[in-house]
Amino acid sequence: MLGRGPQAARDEFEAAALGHLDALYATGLRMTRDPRDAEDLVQDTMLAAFRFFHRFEPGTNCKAWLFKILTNTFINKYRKRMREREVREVLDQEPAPSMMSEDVAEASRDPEGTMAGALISDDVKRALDAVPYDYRLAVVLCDLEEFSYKEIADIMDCPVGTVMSRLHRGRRLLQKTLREYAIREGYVKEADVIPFPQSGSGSKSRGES
Amino acid sequence: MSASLRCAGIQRFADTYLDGEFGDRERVEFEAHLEGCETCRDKVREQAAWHRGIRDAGPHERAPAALRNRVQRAIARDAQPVRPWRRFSTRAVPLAAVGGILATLMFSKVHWSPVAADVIAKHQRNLPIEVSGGVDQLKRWYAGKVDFPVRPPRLPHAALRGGRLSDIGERQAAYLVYDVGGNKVSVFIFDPGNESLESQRKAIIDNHEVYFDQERGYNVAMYRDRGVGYAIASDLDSGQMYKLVSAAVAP
Repeated sequence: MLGRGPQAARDEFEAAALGHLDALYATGLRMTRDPRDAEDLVQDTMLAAFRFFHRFEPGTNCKAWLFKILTNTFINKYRKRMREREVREVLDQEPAPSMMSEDVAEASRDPEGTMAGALISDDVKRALDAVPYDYRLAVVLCDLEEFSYKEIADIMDCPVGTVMSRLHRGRRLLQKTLREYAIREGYVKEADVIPFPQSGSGSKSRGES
Repeated sequence: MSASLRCAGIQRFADTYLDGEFGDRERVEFEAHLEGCETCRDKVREQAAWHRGIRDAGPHERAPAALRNRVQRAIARDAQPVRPWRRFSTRAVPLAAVGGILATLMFSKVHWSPVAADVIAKHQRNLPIEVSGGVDQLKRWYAGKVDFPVRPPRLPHAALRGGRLSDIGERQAAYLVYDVGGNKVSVFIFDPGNESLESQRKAIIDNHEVYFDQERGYNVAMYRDRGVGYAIASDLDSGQMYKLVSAAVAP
């Protein structure tokens, strides 16, 4: 930005960044789970991005660059409120031979696609908010913002393998929660979702026992 | 490799396949297995339904129109940071010279301080006071509770309202609240370690490097004194803030 007038710098930044305001706000809401905090977070993010815009390389992914600043700003400003991190650390220490525990895997089963095809937006929002921060962010960045694994790794400042395991666990936790909602609300019956496993194994299902 | 192990591997990487993250060779191998394995095919189909369901029903809130305006106003203010400070420095430097204060204002737009953001966030909230009283009483209260000496700064025309334990980032801090002409002034005293306090604007006041930052209408000043970090936040204007800090760092 140096060497240009303030108006030109502003115009250039706003043209590149303001189009991503909705995506930043939606993700900020998933991070903070509070509309006022999300607005503050996005404003701080945009201001920081404006101040560092001279470091942005034209032609690279501006949205990913802004999301990296969003996550850094969130961590710097809200670190003390992130008690969920402790939950994640505990979960990360669990052995995960198939990258998720069997109970979560089984509880998220939906072989007929009964629930997945009838998800309600409010339920997905509520279920997402219940997933621990790091898993939630990985799912939001991949499934809602459609970033690649490499971009998510850069945004979350972790290896691609960690992104994969957070995504895997985050999605299974999300599915498990949504299944519990669906059964509680009577959208589906437990027997519609389980037996498990599916055909081919010959083992007895839970419903048959 | 047994069929069951192969199936376990396939199911483990169903997400990677569905996210389109496989290279061509892995994708072809994966699909070849699905072709001949009904169990894996069902499970991948099930996960595909979840992926679609979450994507379709996932929340996509739009930013409130007021936020867009707020952001644009903040950027407009920030785009011309030098002017008010330049005006201020032309007044402050002669004044500083008369008062025996060496002030050198340098303008650099390179740093954005996480300390400042944290301090403002806490200053905005009405956190309860844990101890009230005079300077000596507060010093005694903090002794043994924090690992650094708490020396409340002497601020002109200020009444010390009280203090509490707090933090800056992950560091413990003593948080003091003053009243200056009806305005709240928050002073955080902490052990800065090697953490940088650098921010937008730097001034040398009485041989102290003082960094000033401004966010959402609040001014913050940060400096070190005898190895201890100080961060002062208020909604006083830049000129009042400078006078306040000049008095705080004066020997």
